[in-house]
Amino acid sequence: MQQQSTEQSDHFWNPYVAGVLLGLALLAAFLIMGWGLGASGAANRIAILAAHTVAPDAVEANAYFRPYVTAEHGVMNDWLVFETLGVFLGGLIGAFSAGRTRLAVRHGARISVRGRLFWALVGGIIMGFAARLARGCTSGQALSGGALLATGSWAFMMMVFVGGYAVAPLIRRQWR
Amino acid sequence: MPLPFYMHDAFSRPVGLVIATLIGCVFGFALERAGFGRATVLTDQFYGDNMRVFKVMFSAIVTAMLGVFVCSGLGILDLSLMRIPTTYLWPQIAGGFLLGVGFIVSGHCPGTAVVGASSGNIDAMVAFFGTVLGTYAFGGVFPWIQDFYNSGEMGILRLPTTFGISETLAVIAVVLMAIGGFFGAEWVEKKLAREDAPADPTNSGAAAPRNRVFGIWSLATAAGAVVLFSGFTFVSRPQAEPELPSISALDLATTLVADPTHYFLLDTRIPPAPPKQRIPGAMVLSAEDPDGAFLADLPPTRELLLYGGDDASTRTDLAERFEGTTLTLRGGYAAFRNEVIAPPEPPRAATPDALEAYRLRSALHAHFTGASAPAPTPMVKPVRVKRARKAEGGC
Amino acid sequence: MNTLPLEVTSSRVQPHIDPVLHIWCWDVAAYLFLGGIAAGLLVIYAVHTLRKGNSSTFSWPLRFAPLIALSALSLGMAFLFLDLEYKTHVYRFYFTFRPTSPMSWGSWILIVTYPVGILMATGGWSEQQKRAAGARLGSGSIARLLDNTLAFSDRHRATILRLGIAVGCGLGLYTGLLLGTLSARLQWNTAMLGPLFLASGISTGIAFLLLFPLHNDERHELTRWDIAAIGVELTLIGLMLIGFLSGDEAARLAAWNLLGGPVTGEFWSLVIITGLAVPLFLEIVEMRRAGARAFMAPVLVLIGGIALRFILLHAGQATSYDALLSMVGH
Repeated sequence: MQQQSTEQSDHFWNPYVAGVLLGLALLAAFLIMGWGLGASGAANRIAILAAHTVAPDAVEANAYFRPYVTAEHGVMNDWLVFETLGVFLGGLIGAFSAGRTRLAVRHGARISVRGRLFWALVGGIIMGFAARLARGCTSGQALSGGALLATGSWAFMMMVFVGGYAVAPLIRRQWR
Repeated sequence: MPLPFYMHDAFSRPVGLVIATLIGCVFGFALERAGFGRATVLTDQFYGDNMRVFKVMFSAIVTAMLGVFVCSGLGILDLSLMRIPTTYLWPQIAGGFLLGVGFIVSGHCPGTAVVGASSGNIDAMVAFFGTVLGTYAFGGVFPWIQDFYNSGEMGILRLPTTFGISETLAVIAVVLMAIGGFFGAEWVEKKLAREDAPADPTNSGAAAPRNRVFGIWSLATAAGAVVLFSGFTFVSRPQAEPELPSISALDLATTLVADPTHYFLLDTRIPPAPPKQRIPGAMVLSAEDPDGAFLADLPPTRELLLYGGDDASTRTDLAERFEGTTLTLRGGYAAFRNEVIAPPEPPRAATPDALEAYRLRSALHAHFTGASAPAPTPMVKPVRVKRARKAEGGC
Repeated sequence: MNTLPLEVTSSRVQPHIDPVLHIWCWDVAAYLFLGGIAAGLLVIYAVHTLRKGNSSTFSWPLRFAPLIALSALSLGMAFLFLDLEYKTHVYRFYFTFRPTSPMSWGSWILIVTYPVGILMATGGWSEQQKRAAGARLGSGSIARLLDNTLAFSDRHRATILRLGIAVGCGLGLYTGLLLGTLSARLQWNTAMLGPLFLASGISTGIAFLLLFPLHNDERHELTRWDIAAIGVELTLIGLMLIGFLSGDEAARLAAWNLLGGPVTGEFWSLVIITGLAVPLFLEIVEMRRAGARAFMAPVLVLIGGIALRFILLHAGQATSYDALLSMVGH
């Protein structure tokens, strides 16, 4: 049968069930803390910490970064940073218990490993910029703000899909 | 217990960080099981034949939204305490578009990149590194785009307000839209299914678990709507502050002798009473800090005892600043002065209890005033003799 | 800091009188971490060899574990040396022995560790390994020294290994007791610190070995021990907290530090969850499934090990000061 030929490692959960578990984690954050989840916040703070270690003056002179390094708590002493640490650990638990931990580069059939990594970096930079501009990423804005019915978050979410579908045909080579 | 817990000071900020790690674990686990650690699964969304991203995302949104809806309908969750993202329309629209572009180019979004990295996907690690670099790009151009960054500010705006509909209607609309979207997605998947790709049985979502999930949502929506329409609430009005526990001056004095570090003592009188008219070791409120903000810094390893001149002048409102247990002194300093500082009167009736109490008070008096107690023995002896005589007479 | 009353700042808390207020930094934490790894490696090697007998068939990381231990220890001591105020005074430790001073014990244990470690590594070679080493060295005096050492180590193999267990345990305990005897530091004033750092040292030592290519049966065995060591560690941390909670005010302050106070987030997230609970889960899964290899488990154990020492070191130095601040400041 078809199912048996699929590797065990490629068996993901039913998307609706996985979504409900995701929603329950988000709900737990709402009910316990009073705010939602995030991910780009941690990347932001890692960046600021690294820059502040290397060039403290430049960071303190920057209008966007200054509030982070002059705050009462350290840059990394933040809810989203610890939550993202948890995301890493949870992902590790999930992947290892399903037999999916393997060093690999996931790419489409028509692109080289090096090309894939190049585009991953470029896309990452765009995402990092976009997440700062929008004050959050798919987790912080679309999921958390969306579930609280925040108007701006819904606008953000729609635009994520618009942006994705608009560019997808242009870089079809990478994935198909 | 009212929700959200943290906003009601149910635990300290560092405990919140531990909760962050635990919730993050569940979040990461769910993302991984959804297949979101893998760029090839995520980007399928944009080529139409596997709509996992849409299904998982909206399932999560609907679930969390219904939970919030039901809890706030029941009155156990205070929505006004929640940190709802402020709407800055233009940067959110531009940021959303760019994030979608970054998503399809890199194959990840920031959160799924972390999960992908944890399962060993090098492209995910690179994408996350890119996200870190993107922050620098933003910080670098920030002075030039600052105005745009703050444009379209609309405060905390929510869909019910934007569309002028009720909360319940908005929730029902989102649930219906999501379920409609799910059926639409499955229809598109079937249409665009690639001939060469093997049918992944978990792709479109096997019907049984899907229908169960939809059923639960419908029930939750109905329950929330009924609750809201009936106006029923578990906790509607703020309850009166419970009175602080109190102890007597003698109990306090005894405890202080046995364990001087048992309490933080705080004299709440302003201006502070002179040192001779305070309980020894008591802190006072200074003019710079009349509301005792420093109490928040005290470790809750001792109990806090508040006292004023008398019951009326004891400021019980300071208790909420302190993290640990707080008590008051019954009768305030007046009681302490009368019962501990003032020299005890020898007992009139010489019952053993009265004698015991007298000895205790003498000892406490001596301890707290430094004065030697009025020698109890000569006073007591005749009393005892008297009692003995009475007993003899009875025989 | 500036809110302290004048009498405190002028008479006590100022750099000319209390120069050591925050002076133990990352270098001491790194020393305690590397010392723990060295202790763990010595104990693991000795116990494993005593159980299996023939150490010449071990994979190379395990066979050279005592030498890896000595390298880690040397690196750690280099960090410690950096921390010393008077570097040229090190020799003075060795002109005296004070039975009540953990530093005195420590410096002598460090001296004993080197010969014992070398003798552990030079025992139990196969004839072929001896010939290969001899061929490389020729027939000079060094080769003769090696021959004699090998022969000596073989003759006293069991004694040396038992001595190795003792030295390893001593070293591991000492890294904790070094802090534990400083009773003025609330966070360190517990007898649990010695055993805790020993258990953590064994666990991190195993984790360090697991990063290298080992034979499958060795990996299996070491992972099983790591699971046990993590279990012991969790128990000891629990006992430590119970001990603090049932103590006097200073001890309760130390407990509160980890149960709601300033370092709670780091302690539970990095040490308990990241460094102990998650690797424990990964290793149990690894044991149950044939062919699975949890590469990240030892990495997390090592992160947890260094976080444990860093956080306790920091908390120990912060508690007394913060307590002083809140008690005296008002």
